[in-house]
Amino acid sequence: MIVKGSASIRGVSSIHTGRSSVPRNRSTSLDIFLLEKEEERLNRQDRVFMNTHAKILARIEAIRVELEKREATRTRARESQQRNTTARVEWKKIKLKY
Amino acid sequence: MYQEMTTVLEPAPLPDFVETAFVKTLSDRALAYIQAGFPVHFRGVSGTGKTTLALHLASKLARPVVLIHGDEEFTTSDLVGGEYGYRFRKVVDRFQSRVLKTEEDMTKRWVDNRLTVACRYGLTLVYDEFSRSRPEANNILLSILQEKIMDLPVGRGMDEPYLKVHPDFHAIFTSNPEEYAGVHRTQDALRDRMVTMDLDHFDFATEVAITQAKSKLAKREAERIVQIVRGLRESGKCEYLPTIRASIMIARTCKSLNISPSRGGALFGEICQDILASQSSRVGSKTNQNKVREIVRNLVQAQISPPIATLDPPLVGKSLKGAHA
Repeated sequence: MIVKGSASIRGVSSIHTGRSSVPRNRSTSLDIFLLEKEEERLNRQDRVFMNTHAKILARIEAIRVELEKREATRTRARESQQRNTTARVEWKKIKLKY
Repeated sequence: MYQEMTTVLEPAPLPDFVETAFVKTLSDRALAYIQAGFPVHFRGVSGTGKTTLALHLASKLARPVVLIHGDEEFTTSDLVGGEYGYRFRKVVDRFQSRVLKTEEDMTKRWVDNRLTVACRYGLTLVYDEFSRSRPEANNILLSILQEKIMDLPVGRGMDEPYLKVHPDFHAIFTSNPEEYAGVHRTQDALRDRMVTMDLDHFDFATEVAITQAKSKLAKREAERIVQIVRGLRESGKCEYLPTIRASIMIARTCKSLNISPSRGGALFGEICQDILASQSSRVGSKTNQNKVREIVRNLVQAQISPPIATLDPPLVGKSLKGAHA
């Protein structure tokens, strides 16, 4: 059930109570009750958000590791190629008298 | 990057190297052909200075030299290169502490041979007695000399299968006449790509200068020896013509025994007989040897003054050992 128009609770435009019936005379206790419910909801939402945030961070970390692995592989391949193709030639000169 | 060690030669004349006008004319002409972009081929009988002239020419080019000697067993890979041994590589990757990645590979190791090295780095190739290699082994030279490109085996596994020949690459060939033992006929196509200079025996002045320089004998003594050798050569009775090497052998022996060719006596005559009779005969038939010995005896008699019969007694019949002592 959605209760609207509670002017006494600032910043809260609608409250999800989950109750089937709401007392007709809204008292302070009702406001407290509604606020408690709202707090629960926000906490629950926050937990979900935190969970999602952790998942995103883990994913970013995994991507970073994968990128570094790719970079290392590429560097190693490049070094390997240089090792294979570029030979440093040293000349050993022998005098030949004729 | 891997290290490659290549051995090259730096020809340099000996202090007793003689460059007479005859030799200078030859080498200057050959150098002109080389500078015009043509390989030079010195062809001639043994003892005409082909190899020495080739090395002298190579030294004038002032580039490192690669020397190859023609051989019956040569194949193309002996010139170009081949697979000698293996190269093994193992990579243990512990970039991630929880992941162990290993990579192993083993490849055959290609080693360039002298011709490839010369073409790649622009060295001077001296291919001595190239006609002793079978003609098909020298096929690789056709494209090198004409198109300036060298085709390498595909399995080489390094860079391009074609190697562009370095502009400083030059080739100098030497060969004996085709009738010599162990000599193959040269390919027409190969001979057509090079300037062939036929060398004969040196002129008298050059032979004297070389004999004198190599033995340190006096000029007059060297002249006598050269006249004996040339006399035998020009007699037309030899199976095999004696060369400048015979003059050097006689002169050096005389120097070591401290005897004078003009007054050498019987010992000098025997030295000439030994060296010239063996040099001028391949088969060693008795009849021919006697004929040569008779000619040598007359030539020696003509050069010795006074004649052998009136020589100083101590020199006549003196043993080699005694004379040396």
